[in-house]
Amino acid sequence: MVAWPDAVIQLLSGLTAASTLFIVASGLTLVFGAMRVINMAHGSFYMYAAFILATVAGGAAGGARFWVGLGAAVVVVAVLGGLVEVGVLRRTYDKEHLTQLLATFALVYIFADLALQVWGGTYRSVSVPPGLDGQAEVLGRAFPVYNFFLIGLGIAVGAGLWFILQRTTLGWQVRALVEDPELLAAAGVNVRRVGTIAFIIGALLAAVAGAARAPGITIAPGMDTEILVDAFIVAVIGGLGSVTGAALGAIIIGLFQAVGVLLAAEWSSAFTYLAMILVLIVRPSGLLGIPER
Amino acid sequence: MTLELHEVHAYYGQSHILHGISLTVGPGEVVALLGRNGAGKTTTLRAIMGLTPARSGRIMFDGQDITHKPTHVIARLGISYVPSGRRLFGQLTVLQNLQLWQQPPRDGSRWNLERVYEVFPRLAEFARRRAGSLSGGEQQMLKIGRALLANPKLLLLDEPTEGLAPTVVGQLSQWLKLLKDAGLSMLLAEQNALFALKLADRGYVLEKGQIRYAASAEELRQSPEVRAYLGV
Ligand SMILES: Nc1ncnc2c1ncn2[C@@H]1O[C@H](COP(=O)(O)OP(=O)(O)O)[C@@H](O)[C@H]1O
Ligand SMILES: [Mg+2]
Repeated sequence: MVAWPDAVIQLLSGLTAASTLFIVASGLTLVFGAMRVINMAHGSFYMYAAFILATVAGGAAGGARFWVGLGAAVVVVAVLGGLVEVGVLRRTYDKEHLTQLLATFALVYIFADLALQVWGGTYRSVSVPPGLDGQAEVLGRAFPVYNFFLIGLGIAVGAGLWFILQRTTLGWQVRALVEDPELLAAAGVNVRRVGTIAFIIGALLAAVAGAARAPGITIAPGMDTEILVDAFIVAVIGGLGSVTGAALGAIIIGLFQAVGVLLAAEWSSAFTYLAMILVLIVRPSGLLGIPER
Repeated sequence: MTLELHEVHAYYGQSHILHGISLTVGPGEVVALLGRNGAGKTTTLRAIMGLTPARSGRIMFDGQDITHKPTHVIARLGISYVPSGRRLFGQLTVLQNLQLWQQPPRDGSRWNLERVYEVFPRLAEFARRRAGSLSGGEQQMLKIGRALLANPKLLLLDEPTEGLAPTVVGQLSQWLKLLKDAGLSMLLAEQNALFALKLADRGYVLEKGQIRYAASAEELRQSPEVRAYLGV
């Protein structure tokens, strides 16, 4: 039997994982929701943010430069996102979906090779910023303070996105874009601009997740595709295009993985796919997805 | 406000749809664009809005060449497009739909939410509902209301009577009369020629992407040839 304080700790670990997953997946699903594009390079943005942070605040430099590094990571990746949308994706919107998919898939390789050139193949690490380090006591067990920060960040990002999408003109434009771009243009809205902004917000979310998750993981090539698969599963479970769905999907995957570790540690990644299969059997378009007409 | 089309040709891919359309809409004028299904009425409006840009010819609005301008720029210059059918943002609320169209007032056009709600009280009542849940008549109100909020100089209406119950068609006629009396210029594409010619000052009859007749509304109503062609 598992002692219940351990179960609570596992639950909190699950929520910590869910939080990062949600932030990454929300970007993926937002871009899909606005433009019907699956951005395969989303994971590359995540990885770049971690590498940039490690460059600025890695190793001995560490400490308070964490926040400078996080800021730099978010800004650089947002600019990169803008360049990708304007320079590459914009040329593919009038083409088939496969063309868009291939274009972003090509970017995954280009970004990966570029990362090898810039940062090399060595592993890097970043330490937790001062103030958020150390352990908190939960039911007599130790739990990292930084994980509470990650859970809080996920909630804050969710609230921020909800506010933008429901309460601001930009949010309505993003939601309107996918329904009828021609009509939105006829309303006097520069639809290309809305698309670019949506894409930049998506890249920014990947960057926030990548930088925030960087302490405590090994930053290395390959983390781009790894996170992409997880984020994609989360977005699909929630229903592609639905940010609320991404939150639900992330919690389900986070908890499934945590329970998986408790029950059978060596099978924990299989639990991710199990969760996806179960959800898709019941709801083929995902929990909050709208079936394609 | 003057809209002028000179010899406009438009295509969908390879198919040549408009074969040299020339027409004008003067200040305060209501002009009917008539023709059977497939004649090219919608394509003409789309060419004006830059949605199906003219491949050759010229479109002037208020002395500016708008032939190759992007749609949102044309909209902001003061042309409001009311497309046919249920084209609205069904996932957004009625209020959000209205606010997406809002443009600052211009000389002679000072529409705001309050005034739109005065004309269409139903929209105020349903402000927080999802636009997709409105009935056909209510959607028509929303489509016209949002177009007015753009404070346009010219309204392009595509088949506004399509699919409406006869009582709602009567109301629609009153709303449009109201706007006409307020001095708003309109280009009204309709298969329902009787409806359009009641309101219009002048009209054009399209056939296979060309203008077949151009005359005053009175003449078009009387002409046996036109009546036969339009089947009225
Ligand atoms: N998207 C499209 N692609 C190809 N042909 C089209 C398209 N839309 C309309 N057409 C063709 O263009 C012609 C004119 O259509 P349209 O302008 O919609 O006529 P109307 O509005 O007068 O009914 C028709 O023959 C129609 O089949
Ligand atoms: Mg038509």
